[in-house]
Amino acid sequence: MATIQTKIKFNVRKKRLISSKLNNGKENANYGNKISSATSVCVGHGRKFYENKCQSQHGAILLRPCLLSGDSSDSDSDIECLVIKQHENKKGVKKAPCTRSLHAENTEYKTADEVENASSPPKRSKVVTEDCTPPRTPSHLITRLHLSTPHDSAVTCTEKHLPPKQLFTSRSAFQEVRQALQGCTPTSLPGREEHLDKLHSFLQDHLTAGTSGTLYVSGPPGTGKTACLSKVMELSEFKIGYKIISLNCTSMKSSRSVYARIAQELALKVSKQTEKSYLASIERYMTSYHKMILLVLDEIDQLDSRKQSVLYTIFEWPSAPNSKLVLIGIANALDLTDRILPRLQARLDLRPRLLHFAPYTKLEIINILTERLKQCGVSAVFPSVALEFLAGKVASTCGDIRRALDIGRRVIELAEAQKLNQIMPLQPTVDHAANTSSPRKSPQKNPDIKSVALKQVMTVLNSVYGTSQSLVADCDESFPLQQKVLVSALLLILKKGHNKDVTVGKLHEVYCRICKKKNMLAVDQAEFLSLCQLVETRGILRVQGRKEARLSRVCLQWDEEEVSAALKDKQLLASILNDTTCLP
Amino acid sequence: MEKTLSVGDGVVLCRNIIKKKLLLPENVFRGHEKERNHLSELLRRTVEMGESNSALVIGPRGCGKTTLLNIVLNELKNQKAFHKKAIVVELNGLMHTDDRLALKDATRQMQLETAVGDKVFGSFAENLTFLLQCLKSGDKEKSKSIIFILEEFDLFCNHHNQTLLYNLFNVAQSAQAPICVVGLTCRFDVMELLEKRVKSRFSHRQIFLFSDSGQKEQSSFEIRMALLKSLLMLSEDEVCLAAAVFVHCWNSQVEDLCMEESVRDVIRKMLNMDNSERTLRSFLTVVVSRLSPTHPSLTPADFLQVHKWWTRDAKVAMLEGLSVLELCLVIAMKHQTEIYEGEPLNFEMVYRRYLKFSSQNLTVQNVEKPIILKAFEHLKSLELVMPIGGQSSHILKEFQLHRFLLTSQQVTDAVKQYQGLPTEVSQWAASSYQ
Repeated sequence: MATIQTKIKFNVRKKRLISSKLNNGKENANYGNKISSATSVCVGHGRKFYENKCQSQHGAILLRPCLLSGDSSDSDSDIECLVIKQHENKKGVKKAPCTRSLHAENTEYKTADEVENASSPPKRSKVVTEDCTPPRTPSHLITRLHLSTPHDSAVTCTEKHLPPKQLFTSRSAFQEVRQALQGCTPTSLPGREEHLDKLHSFLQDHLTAGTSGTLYVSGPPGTGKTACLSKVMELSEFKIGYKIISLNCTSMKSSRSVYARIAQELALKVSKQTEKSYLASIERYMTSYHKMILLVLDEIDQLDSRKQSVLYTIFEWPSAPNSKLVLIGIANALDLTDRILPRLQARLDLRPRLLHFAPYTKLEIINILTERLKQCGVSAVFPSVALEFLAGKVASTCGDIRRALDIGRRVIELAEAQKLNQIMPLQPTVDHAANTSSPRKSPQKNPDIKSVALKQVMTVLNSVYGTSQSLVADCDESFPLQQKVLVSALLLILKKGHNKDVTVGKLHEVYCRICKKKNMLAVDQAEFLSLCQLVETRGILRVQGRKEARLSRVCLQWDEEEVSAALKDKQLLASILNDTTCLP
Repeated sequence: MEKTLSVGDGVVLCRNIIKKKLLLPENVFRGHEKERNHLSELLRRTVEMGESNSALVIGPRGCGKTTLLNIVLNELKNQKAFHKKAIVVELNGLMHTDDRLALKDATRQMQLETAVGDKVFGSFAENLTFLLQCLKSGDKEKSKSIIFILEEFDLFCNHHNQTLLYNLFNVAQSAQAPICVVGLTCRFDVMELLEKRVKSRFSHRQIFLFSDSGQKEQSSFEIRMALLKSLLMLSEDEVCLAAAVFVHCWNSQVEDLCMEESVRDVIRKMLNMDNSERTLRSFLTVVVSRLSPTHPSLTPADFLQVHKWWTRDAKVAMLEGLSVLELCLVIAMKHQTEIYEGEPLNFEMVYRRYLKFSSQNLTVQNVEKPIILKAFEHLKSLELVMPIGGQSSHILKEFQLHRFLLTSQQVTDAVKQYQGLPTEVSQWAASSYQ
């Protein structure tokens, strides 16, 4: 019985589509058959019998088109039809073998006794020969995905859409610059020659000596750690000498799943898919004879786990005899190995070498930007004054090259937009649809060299580095009056009041007094709370403890001096701030 | 033909059209010209040139962030080649509460190989690596650009290690498949929520949306009135021809309404409280709902009435529904908090204060203590009083300390508005002693 089931499995799926529409009828028919054969013994349930018979007839009628369609699609159903016709001739419709043979195809409706009864011997051999090609089911695709046979590729454009570079030979200088400042890794890394040398010599030494070692690379984000490392890894001598495994630890679900990824990269055969077995197989591989391994773990602080077991395990691998593993960890914190891995300091051979990337200085940022612009031959767009200004500002706060590049790109955008406005004064900017159609034409109209003004750099820098929102601009039109009064009431309490602990209820009292003095309509408690929440969305204050509205605390989020300085310009608000009589 | 439409039918038709206009999301966007150009330029460049970008749209609730984005996207989608060149993936921080869900949905929306029949296989890690591999293998020339839209962006910042954000921004920074990440949030300090490595990869492009800050020549009140007019007015093509006469009438009525001083006053008051467009819309929806065949035109009285409902204190309204005994307890509590300056109170204190009052006034019935306790419990369940330090079982109900959550002003208002309150009680409420 079981063998029959396994044998006829695949044909079923193919025919499902044809027969599925008629499932209902078939089921009824079958049901009718069974019962009719049973009830024929006891004719007492006359009415029921009649009903069932009706159903079976109905089913039989419905079955016919199914057979016909099967006829046209499959050659072997010819035989089936013949068989059925013979059966019909012999035994009449009552037994209805057609339903049975159909059911033999359809696994879903097959029950045990039906399979036993099924009698279509010529079919079996045919079916078995048919299912030699694997079906394209999702689960099959998944298994192929695990073996990584098809190359994963992002959805590609159906339209043969060439990059604009080829299509427009005379791309505007602005577009060139934007392309140059895009985030891709350049071929040369100015300002990082020393680090490159260090990395190179470290890898070279270990490769020639065949020993294992550990290196920890640290530095704030955007200082070129990953870029340097990937550049060194690109070198052919290391590509040949090492088996390179490069992983980014943020793309892992848990810290322990790193073992699975490493085992996958090493193409190890693992018996069970558990972390333990992955770890065991990696360690087995380490002790056996193998090529030098270069394991690069980016954002290694993400492998944080209880008692740091994962990090300790990984950092202890190089010290194992003949492991031949060079481990490079990359993270932001300078003292990660001292802080969370103190046990490594105990043994001399475990202690990792350190390499720190300092934030870029102003000069280095200028060098990088000019280098990038020079590569595209458009260095005239960015005058050196603007460049210096930008670099100085970025270097003074974070030294992040990504930010410098982003700001540079936005300055270009701004300059381009303003240029477009100058060229086409007749075309209003409001009409956006008309504007988008002709941005490429305009640079050709005046081919003279465009450059970025210092003022444009200033605008972008202000938008990036200004406080989340400047209050001065806020105070004008877009800030409702009542909300302004609310903020000034809060300031009044904080500056002049005795008790700095402000609740919504207390704030409301002070607010009501102010409103009364100024002859304004005061809102009531419920409305006041919603006002507080509206101001909260601006990030000016924060209401803590939402549950009991009247008692929730109000804290000022912005700097007190800054807010009051901004409010002082307004006559009304200044008078509120100076009036201490409103305080309780 | 035109006259066949009766006034009643015309009113119903108009009401329906205006309500639809108010409630359904709009495809016309007012103001914010600069921001809109910025965003559409950004998306256009992502789609056409294959640049990778990231941006945050920030603005208070109800200022039209989603509307802005939808309009910009619709503009793009009208272009013929858009569907061939780009995929839009929309995620919402409220629905995709962790990275696993967000990732599954992103995979599904990108229609990647494993997403068969809307069912995404594999664990989180598999999905993530698969998605990243797909993005990595793409490049500027061949692959479609992907536009990620993250609504409620601040909620994505709460995810574990901000894995999803890191990976998205990382793809945007490195030369992989072109993607554009647009986050919508109402939190102004959203940059402080990002981890430093995520922050470094974000392009610091913040688009702020404030209500109509662009037009300085008009005061915000005038802009608001214009908005009101445009929301209420009907254009000829919106209505079928039969109602053209009625539409004309209606529009002139709206013109008159907008000049009415009391209407202007109501709108001004509302603007002072909250300047988001959504408030005005929901306010107008209530106003317009009052239209009916028997009441075919809007009057200033409608506005006033709705505004009264709108600004009504819910707590005071609740107090009006209490029984006299419960109101007496509320008054007793008010006296108690006034005398002891906001110290917490328990049932016994309130009870004693009530007894003092009821023993001196013969008209007020003397009620048994259990009934008063029950009234007190009822007040507690309405959250007019709040127990301090939670419900601890080892303190008796009568001695559990509570905080009074009403102001004396609210109690006074409620006493004034209460129908059929005995005179003694209202006198007691007014007096500051006893």
